[in-house]
Amino acid sequence: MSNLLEIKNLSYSRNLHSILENFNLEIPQGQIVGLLGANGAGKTTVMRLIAGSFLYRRGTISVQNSQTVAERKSKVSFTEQASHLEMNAPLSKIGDFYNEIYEDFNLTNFKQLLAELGLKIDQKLNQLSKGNYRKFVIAVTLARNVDLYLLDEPFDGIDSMSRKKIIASIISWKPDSATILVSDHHVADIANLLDSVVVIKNKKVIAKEAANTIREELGQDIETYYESYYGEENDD
Amino acid sequence: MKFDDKVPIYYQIKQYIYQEILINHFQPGTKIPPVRQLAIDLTVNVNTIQRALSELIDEEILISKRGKGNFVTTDLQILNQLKENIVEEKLEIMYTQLKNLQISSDEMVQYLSDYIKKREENDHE
Amino acid sequence: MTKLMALTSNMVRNKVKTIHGLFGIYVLVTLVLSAYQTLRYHVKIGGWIEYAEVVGAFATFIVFLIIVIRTEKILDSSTYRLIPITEGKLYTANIVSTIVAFLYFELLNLIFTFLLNPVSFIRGLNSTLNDTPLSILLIMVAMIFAMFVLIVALVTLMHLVNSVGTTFLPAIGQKITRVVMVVLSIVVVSYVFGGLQYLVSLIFTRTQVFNSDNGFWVATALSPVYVLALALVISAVNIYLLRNWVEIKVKAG
Repeated sequence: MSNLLEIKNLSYSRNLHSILENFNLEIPQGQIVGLLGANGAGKTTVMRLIAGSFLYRRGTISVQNSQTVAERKSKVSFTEQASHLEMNAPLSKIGDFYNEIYEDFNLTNFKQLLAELGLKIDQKLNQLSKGNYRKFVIAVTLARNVDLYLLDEPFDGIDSMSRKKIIASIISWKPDSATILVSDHHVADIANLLDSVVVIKNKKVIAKEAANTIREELGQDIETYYESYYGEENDD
Repeated sequence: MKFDDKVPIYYQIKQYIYQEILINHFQPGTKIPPVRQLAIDLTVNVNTIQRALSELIDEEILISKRGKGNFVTTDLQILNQLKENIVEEKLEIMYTQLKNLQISSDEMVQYLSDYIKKREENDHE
Repeated sequence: MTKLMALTSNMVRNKVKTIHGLFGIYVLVTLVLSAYQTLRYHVKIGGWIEYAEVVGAFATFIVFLIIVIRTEKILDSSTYRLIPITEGKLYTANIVSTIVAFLYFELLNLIFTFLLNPVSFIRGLNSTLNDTPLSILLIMVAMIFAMFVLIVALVTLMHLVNSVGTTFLPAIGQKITRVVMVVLSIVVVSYVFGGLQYLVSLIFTRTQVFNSDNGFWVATALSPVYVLALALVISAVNIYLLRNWVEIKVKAG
């Protein structure tokens, strides 16, 4: 089986400060993969590099054998694509915007997702609570029909009811062949959802393992597995 | 449903489906919910459900009908066997634990029948 | 992949919405100001057009500022940079929609001043047409257009260079390096504008004296083309920067 996402020898720095070095990652099609790491370990940076909003000079990234950055963008739906919107626009207007701009955006699915998540289409963006804003971002991201979804900390700072609804949407709306990369620093939230986990530390992928292997062969829960790489260390 | 995060999820889902079949929530010959619905109900990944179901199909407890879904087998022999296996599994745990306490087989039978009596009385009140 | 036309028309509609808001404010300010003058100093309603021209000049400047800021924000926002389209097309859609929006504002402005006093408007237009040959007028219009495009491209260039600086220069000493870059870009821009001023002065003064000189006339007629060509060169640099160096703007950290 060929890999959906292939990152080879990727190095990236910002302000002459190295963030990723010789970063390698391969993810097969159809999986839900947890991207784990401490704050500042580079999870968001990796996602931005895959999505094409950060630019790299060394290494390669390809999604479904994409050749150009624009082509890669057409295969990736990233939660950050909903981060600079007109705040006083109603959700319906924002749906229209995406429907016009993204050929793979499905307006019907978007409306259905909003309904499932308990959002009203005539609500304005700046009227949404933090939890509802996260739900809206998930709706926008999942309403595109692409090969790879990048969900950056989708549960950060929200209550457990919102989290459950978002998880249910992820399960029900993920196309079978699509892959999801989801970052989180509270692994327990999403442990049941994951096919495998990738742990980032010291500018590299230091561990990558199938969830079943962790439980079956290592006899650990995913949180313990993750903590074994970060245990008793202070985040800097 | 609460999962034990130390045990593979697909394995726990198999146990869940066994149980649903034994208590006749999923009756012989009927269709079980679609994969995605199960995934949503149990908040797990579709792939995990798929793995559990494919093992159940291999065990011939579920019959997969192309394009129609998965059905509980009508083969009573298999279902009885399933029941026996599960009961035996539970008994095995109890037996091992009691044996570790150096309780003899006769005592074990006595304790069990006493316990059942006690439980039945309690439950009636 | 997103189509250039779809993105352009979307951006035009967004910017036109802003224009409508600003135009509304401009009309309101003009009318209130004029009505006040009429009530207080008995200025004739026919004279309102003069207030419109004054407020209009100011409004044009404000509209220019706001529309340029919006243009720049698009280039490093993740909402736009994640759209599956090449940087060249994103840049093109952005600048074209800005030009269209700005022209649209000027059109609304013309219609407004015409409606305020059609007679005076047409008289003014006539006298301009009588005083200046049509060809020169057309060159002037073309020149203003070309300069607008050039200025937008230059602002973008400064913005992008600055953005590359914030991404790649060391975090320490950013302030000093940015001051140096701002000074440098002011030097470059004033150099370019010096050249422009020279070109404009050719059209506005010397042509009327030398317009019998055929060769010189051709050079004058071509001057908007030079300016536009310069804008294209700067745009090419901008697209190169966007494609290879400019990332999305990130909040601190």
